[in-house]
Amino acid sequence: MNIVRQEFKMTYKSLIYYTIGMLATGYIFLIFFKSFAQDTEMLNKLLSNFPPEFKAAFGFADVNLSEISGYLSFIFGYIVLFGAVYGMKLGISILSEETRVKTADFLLSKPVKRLHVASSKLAAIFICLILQNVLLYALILPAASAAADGDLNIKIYSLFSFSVFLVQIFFVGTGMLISVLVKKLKSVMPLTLAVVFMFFIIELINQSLLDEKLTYLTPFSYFKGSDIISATGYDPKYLAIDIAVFIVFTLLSLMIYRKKDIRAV
Amino acid sequence: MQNLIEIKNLTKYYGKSRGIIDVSFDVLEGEIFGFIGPNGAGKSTTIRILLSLIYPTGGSASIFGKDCVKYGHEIRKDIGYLPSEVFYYDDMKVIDLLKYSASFYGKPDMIRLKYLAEIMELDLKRKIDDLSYGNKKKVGIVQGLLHSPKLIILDEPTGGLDPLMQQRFFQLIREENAKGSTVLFSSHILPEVQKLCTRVGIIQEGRIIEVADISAMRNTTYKKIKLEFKNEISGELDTMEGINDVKRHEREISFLYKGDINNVIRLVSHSDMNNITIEEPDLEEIFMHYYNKED
Repeated sequence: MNIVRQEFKMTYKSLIYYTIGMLATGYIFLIFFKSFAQDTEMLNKLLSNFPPEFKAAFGFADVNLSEISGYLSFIFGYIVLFGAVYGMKLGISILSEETRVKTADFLLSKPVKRLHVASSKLAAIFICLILQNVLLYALILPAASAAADGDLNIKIYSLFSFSVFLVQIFFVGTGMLISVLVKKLKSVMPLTLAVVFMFFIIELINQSLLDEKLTYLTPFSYFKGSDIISATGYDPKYLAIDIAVFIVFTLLSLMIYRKKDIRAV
Repeated sequence: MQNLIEIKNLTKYYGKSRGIIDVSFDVLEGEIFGFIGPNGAGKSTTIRILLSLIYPTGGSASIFGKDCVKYGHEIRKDIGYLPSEVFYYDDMKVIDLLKYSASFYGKPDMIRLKYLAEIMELDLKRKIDDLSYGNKKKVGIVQGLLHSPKLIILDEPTGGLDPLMQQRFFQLIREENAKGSTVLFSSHILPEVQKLCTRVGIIQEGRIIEVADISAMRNTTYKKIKLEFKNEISGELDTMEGINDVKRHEREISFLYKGDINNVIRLVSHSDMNNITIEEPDLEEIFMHYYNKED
């Protein structure tokens, strides 16, 4: 428990910043929903000016933005992206942070197993992610509900909201694996942004090309708004891949970390 | 006496570069064992393997009769470790860090914590970030000794400590040793090791070149002597035994000397002197002569 507590103390500030950022994204977009919904004609005119590839890439080609579900899927596209950056940052940091702030010698010379250290840290970041997702769900819901004038499909909303968490765990696993494979990790953010945006760009290309093979490659394609709306559920195939990636990458990272040399500072 | 640490043919490569090669030595229960060698010789590598911070390429190491790789976490319960470079969580207060550290060994002994902090003159309420290097080192000392470990591992511990604090620190180590703790003391400063240790292992370029009693070492160590004559350098010096590495500069002469110091005193007492300095040679110089002897 002591490591969990310490880890939480070290990360709670970024939890607050990212959660505020994600909430703000949601609120700001929701403010504009009413005007969109009221003036469908203007909206359609506006959208027709965009080339279809552009619309596809930014996630409003196959959803109706004048409906709250369609609009939410568009909003959550960006909240997911925000959340993915946070998940990736946590994933990369978890096993490398102590080496970077040079406290690894202190912690790992204590009478604890490496696996205990890693699982405690994993527990701490799960507390962060769960807290964030609960806050997100509970605080965006009233705003979405108000914007929809009570016309909100709670199930679809919940599916959108939970997809944030599902994409985050993909990046936690990926981040951990990268962090144990990279020999010397100087700073987290450039690598985090590079990897997340690489996956996001694959998603943008995928949206334009609609190539099913590409869909497997990026978690941003796993929980597509239009699919969630039409099926009122996740595609089990992609849900399974998402969870499998997290589990396999995490186990692999732990195995490598268990025997990794902690270089002297 | 029993072996507390047993190191057999321990080898570590970092990729292709050498860490240590075929290192073997034992540390007896209850002794203060000095581990000396120049920077980069492999002292820290050996210590880091003992703590399973890194894993050996070959050979084995055991502490308390348990293998370091397999039972690392059990062994570390009874080890106090002070690294050469101390780093802690910057935004923590000293007291919180010490409590966190203590939480790994059961309930913290607050009386002992206060006692150690008082001896080392450590302000418990300050933030780690605001501490000087020397003060961080003190945190390291308290954190390493707090749980009364059976084995104390010190890796170049005195850097950053002022002479008074060094003295108190040595006193603490002697106290712990008297209470039964074994100490592995790594250093590149020979006098420091001579002051504290009973036996030493000398490591150079990754290999152990000698394990000896400190009393035996003392008789074989060289003195670095510099004589400044008022007039001419005494000719008798050329024929004196035990002189090595002679450097002359006008009326100055410096050399390494091994043997009865009285011979030198007697010699200079016949001449008019400007200045005399007698120093401990640094370790590299001693090593050079260790090697010369073996060649």
